[in-house]
Amino acid sequence: MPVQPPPVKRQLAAVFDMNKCLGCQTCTIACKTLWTDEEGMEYMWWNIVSTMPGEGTPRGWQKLSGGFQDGEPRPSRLPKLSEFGHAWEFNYEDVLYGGQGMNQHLQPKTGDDNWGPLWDEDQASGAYPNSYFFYLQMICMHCTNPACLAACPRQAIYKRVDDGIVLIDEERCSGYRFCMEACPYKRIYFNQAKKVSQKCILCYPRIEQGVAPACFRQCPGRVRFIGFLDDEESAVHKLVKVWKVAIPLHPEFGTEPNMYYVPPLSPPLFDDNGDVIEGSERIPRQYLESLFGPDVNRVLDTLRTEMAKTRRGEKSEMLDTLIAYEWKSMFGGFTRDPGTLKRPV
Amino acid sequence: MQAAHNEAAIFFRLSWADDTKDDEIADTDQFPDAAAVLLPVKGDAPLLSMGSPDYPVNAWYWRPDLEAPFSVTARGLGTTVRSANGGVSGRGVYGAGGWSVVISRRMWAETADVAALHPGQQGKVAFAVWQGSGGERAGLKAVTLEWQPLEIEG
Ligand code: SF4
Ligand code: SF4
Ligand code: SF4
Repeated sequence: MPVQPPPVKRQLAAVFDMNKCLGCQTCTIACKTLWTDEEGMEYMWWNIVSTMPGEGTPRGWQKLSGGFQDGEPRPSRLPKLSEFGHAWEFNYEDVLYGGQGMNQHLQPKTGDDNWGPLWDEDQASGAYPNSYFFYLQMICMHCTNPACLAACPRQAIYKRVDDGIVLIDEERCSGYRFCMEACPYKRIYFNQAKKVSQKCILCYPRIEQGVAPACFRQCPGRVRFIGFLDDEESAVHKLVKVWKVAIPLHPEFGTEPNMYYVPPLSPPLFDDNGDVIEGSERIPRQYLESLFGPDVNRVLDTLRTEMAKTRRGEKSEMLDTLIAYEWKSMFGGFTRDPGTLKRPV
Repeated sequence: MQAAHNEAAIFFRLSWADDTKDDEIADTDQFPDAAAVLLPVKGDAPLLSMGSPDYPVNAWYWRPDLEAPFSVTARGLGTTVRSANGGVSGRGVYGAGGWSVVISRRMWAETADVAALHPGQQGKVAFAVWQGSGGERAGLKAVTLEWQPLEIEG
């Protein structure tokens, strides 16, 4: 029998406008300092911004399978720590203070590692002068039909009825990692110190207080929109449901993710004489289709049409929404200042 | 499998061949070896479904990466919760190509959610082992397919 999605009353969703991302990783560090700075969490990046085309993290996750096919679970495998990338500790003491600076170079204490979560950061594809890359923002997709939840034999994973946030109950989790294997986006990490699985919690304690999640609120690029998918006033609703210019990543994984992407537009190609080839695009459509499915063509065409409108001096509410002149317009009402929250003691 | 009791406590020794010693969770894709003694909390608890709502199964679960074994009670697959420990203790030693693990508990039961044991009892018992290097955990395990008779000498 195909796996049935758990019921929810409302669903929080997000939109990432890939065209505005700076690759600054402020979002990554916002999450790290808030949630994953404890023992056993060193290697975790609940939020990460990968350079594409690239391997992402864990290394080559897109080829690891998981999720559902025709409603049935698709087998996958567990990534190794080395595929996530070790949390490096460097030999600062020796090199900087231990008088060894002339005969030792700064390096991870784990020795020669040949992979890390951002190993291929800013590495372009294609040949100069037509090289290209773009950034892909990754957090847990808080899926409508979470493969992680379906895979857990202990019912330790639940989807909150009021906002659709997917959480792991660490009290019930036995560290079996069926979830980690099943998640097709490989957004689950295993905490070796606590022997439990952990992942992005969509900053639910902030959400409950009307504050946008840290990686959204801290983003200087105004890339990240959040809100209830059914809130007609929210930018998320308009971008996903009305204008339909934000689409899911790997919809074929079958989990119905709730993070949506405005796909990247491209600069044009140069010919051999260094002249612009009018109407060409640097990022191959085929590659974008491999990420977002064929629907990406419709979205890119819509965006281009809309941009042409503004060039003619017409107004585009869609582009104004994406530009986000007023940051509060991005957060679907989750605009309370985090500075007004009381910190738990 | 060996068993003994001294009126106050009952001891089970499980020995099995295992060429890979998985005594810690060495990587995100690694699992530890494990063993368990399973007992019906009452009467006809079904073994393969790990009990039922009315007929729970009690397990004393040992793992080399944990400080001590502990007691869990299940009322069906995926329902295990920690139960009153009642003095479950034990130790495992790896050598000569296999594990030898002793798991023991006080006789009698202090709470209703665990198996009651006493001298003179005609009961049932089952055993399970998990091969860590084979990715075994939860229901992926080697288990005695039926309850074995457990006669506690009086
Ligand atoms: S992205 Fe993965 S971890 Fe997050 S809800 Fe979906 S299946 Fe679960
Ligand atoms: S929503 Fe919160 S928990 Fe999730 S990645 Fe962003 S900062 Fe981390
Ligand atoms: S999403 Fe925002 S914070 Fe994150 S890398 Fe892009 S611009 Fe920086």
